[in-house]
Amino acid sequence: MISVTPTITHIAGPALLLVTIILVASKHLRLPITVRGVLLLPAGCLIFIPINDLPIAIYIRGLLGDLSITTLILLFTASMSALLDRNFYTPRSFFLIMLPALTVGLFLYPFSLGFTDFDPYALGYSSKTFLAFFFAAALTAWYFNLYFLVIIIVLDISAYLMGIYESRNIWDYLIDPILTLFAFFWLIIWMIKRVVQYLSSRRQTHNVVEKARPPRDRWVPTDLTH
Amino acid sequence: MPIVKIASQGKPHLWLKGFLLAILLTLFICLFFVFSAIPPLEGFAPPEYEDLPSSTDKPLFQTQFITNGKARKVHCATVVEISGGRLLAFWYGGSNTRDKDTCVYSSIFNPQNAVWSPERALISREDTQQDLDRYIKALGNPVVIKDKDSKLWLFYVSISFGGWSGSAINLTTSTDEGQTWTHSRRLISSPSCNLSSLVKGNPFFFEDGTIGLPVYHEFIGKFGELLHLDREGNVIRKSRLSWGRYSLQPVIVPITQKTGVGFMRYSGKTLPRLLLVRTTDGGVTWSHPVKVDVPNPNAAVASIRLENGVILLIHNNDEDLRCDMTLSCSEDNGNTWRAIYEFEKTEGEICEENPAGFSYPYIIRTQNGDFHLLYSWNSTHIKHVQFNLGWVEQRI
Repeated sequence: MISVTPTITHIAGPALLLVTIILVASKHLRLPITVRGVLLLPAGCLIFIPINDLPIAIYIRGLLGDLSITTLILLFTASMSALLDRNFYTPRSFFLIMLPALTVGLFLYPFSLGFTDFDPYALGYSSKTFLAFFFAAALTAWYFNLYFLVIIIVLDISAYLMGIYESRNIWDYLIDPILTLFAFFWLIIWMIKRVVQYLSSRRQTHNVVEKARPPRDRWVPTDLTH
Repeated sequence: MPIVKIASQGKPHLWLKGFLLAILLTLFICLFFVFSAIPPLEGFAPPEYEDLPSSTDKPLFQTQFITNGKARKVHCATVVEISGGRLLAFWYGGSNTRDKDTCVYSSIFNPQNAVWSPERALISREDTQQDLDRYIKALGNPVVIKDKDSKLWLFYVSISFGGWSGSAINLTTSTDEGQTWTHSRRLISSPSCNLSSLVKGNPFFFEDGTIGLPVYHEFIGKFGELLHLDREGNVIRKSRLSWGRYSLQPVIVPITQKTGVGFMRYSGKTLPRLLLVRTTDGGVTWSHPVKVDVPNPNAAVASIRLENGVILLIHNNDEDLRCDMTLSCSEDNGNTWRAIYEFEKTEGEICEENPAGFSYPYIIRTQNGDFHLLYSWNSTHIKHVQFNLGWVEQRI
């Protein structure tokens, strides 16, 4: 018997998280799109599977709390991308989401653990200075046509103004530790790929130059031939 | 996805760009008004003990145990005065601390016959689980306060995973003196999956009727904070009392509207002494913690201020063990202290056999001027000590 009946807003995060993991995995396994579509329903129902009479969603929420709106948006687009087999953002635009996510996370979380007297999390309740910085960041994203970032900010603020979570701190709508961790690993993999790409392109260039140049033992100064 | 195509091609439509700017501006203006609507801290509520009578002209001192027939281990009592001078106490208990059968218990003290009612299991972990839609492993420390409308605010800790570092604070309220309680809800006070927020010290009121809740964190760092809650129980501000890895369980003692002191348990190894912090702006900012000359064996303390400015402190007067429960007083707002009475004292083998000892004191003063002190007695009972100002003045 399931003794807890979770409400929709409370299970949205865990449900989306599980669905995304399964759909992205099925995409990487190169399962046909129709199979991925069929997987959607059982993946969504996974959160109701009871462990010790409690649905999995309750455990996930107990551990992670409410995922930020930014994470929910990224999970949604990732699952849609896997389901429809098309990319919703370019690698560049995704990089421009991951980079601020990691930067903000590295700013927020170490300080929140009490390493210093400064507490950036406290700014998210009512700090006008924080609001000014946030507005400047949003305007910068808008100015450089980073629309995906702007839309995420718009949805985050809208959710905050509607008060859909228990928290009255805007940080909880913008970012969470899961997003920061994901951004961290994604950026590391991205950097490794770039380095490998750079090294291989240099090697290719080097090979091309080497092939174009005549072998040294056969090289004869032109002035001596005449 | 047309928006992404536009973004990737770097050729934005002007109408779309303008539309997004309009939305952004509107939302930030709304955000500005929401942030502006949060009231500034106006300082601590003035103490209300100027004209307190005394229940008796003679010095009063009496002790007893609160009924405990259900839980093997009980800990961390808190108490509030309700109508008729009755006391309503809460504590948590179970087979062991952090066991799955932990509950928050309550009991009522009738001053007419000086008897505590049989305890009632008020909140179980299943109840909390149901209310929060989160897995709950165990329950922990409760603290309670009553506002001017006689509404009771009960804050209590719950653990979802791991030990105390995986805990969070929940809130439930009652408008009928504890007969019925609202569904519990979670207070969010940390961005790290809201891990590790706990309560121990007495909540208090600010000038505007909002609540100050001293809390502490013990996930990686161990430090104290002061949460500021609005009249609906939402966290609207917080200030850091300390930082680092060695300070826990703050207790705040307001002195004037703008000044106050805080005491904290010290969990470090070197020179175990009580920590003291001060504020001169009504709790917005706090001084760096300093050690005062009061031993602290990594244990919680309780404190209350008298109308003549003397601050009372209930603590373990030892560097290593919790084998005593001592009353000390300070006449200079916490700088120097003098032990004036020992509520408990065990030595030698008896002390070593009961490492839990005497701990987690909690003190309030009721409308008749009496002091009520509750503390854990060897983790098997909650002890209640009642005394009055006459008894205190005899010892000062």
